[in-house]
Amino acid sequence: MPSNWILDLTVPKSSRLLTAGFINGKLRVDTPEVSDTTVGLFSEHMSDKIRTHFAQLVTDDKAETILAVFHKSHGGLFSKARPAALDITPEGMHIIDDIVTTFVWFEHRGEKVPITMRDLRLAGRCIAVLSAPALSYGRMSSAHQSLALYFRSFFL
Amino acid sequence: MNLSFSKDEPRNTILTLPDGRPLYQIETPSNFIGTRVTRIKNAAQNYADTGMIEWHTFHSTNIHVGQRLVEPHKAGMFSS
Repeated sequence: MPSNWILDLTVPKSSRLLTAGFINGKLRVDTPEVSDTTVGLFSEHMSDKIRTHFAQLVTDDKAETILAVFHKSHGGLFSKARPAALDITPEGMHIIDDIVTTFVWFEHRGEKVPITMRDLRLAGRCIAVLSAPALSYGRMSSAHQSLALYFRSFFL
Repeated sequence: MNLSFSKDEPRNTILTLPDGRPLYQIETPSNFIGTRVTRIKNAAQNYADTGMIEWHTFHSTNIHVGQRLVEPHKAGMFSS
């Protein structure tokens, strides 16, 4: 079975942060053929089979309000080159410092996600659920209601 | 708010606003001995420290935002 990483986060009560949630990373491979040369880590070679990668930060509730979306950079070969960008939605603006800081952590860890060829084979040609590190945390808003958030990554 | 990365390396980059003004500076000096530390500074507030990440090799990474600490302490697996 493919597996997900769960990452629990503890924070001191005084920090007014709460622990909640986790993420799932999902991978969809466009082509059924997957070469064996990339066993191990998610590598450059894989990226030509995966068109885009983006990560989202959403609230860990039913609404799943999007607080931030990250787009990886685009090469300029067939389209206009575009740098990587982090879009903070209006709902996320009040915690922009938290989002930027935790995103650096999330994205750097994301480079080390072990996506093995075995995971892809198990998944066949459609969707593989693969391990992805997660950061999630909650935060007391000014209205003293808890707000739980989590990052989720998609490889589409 | 759209923030562009000056470099794809998230630990060493500058996040700029659409008009080109820098908003966050993220630096991780290389460090042969000891713990690497990433500092996130707010360029709009005179480069005041807003966040810090201590990348520990053998124990959990510490993430600070302002005076608050976010500490990842356990990674587990589950099937889905």
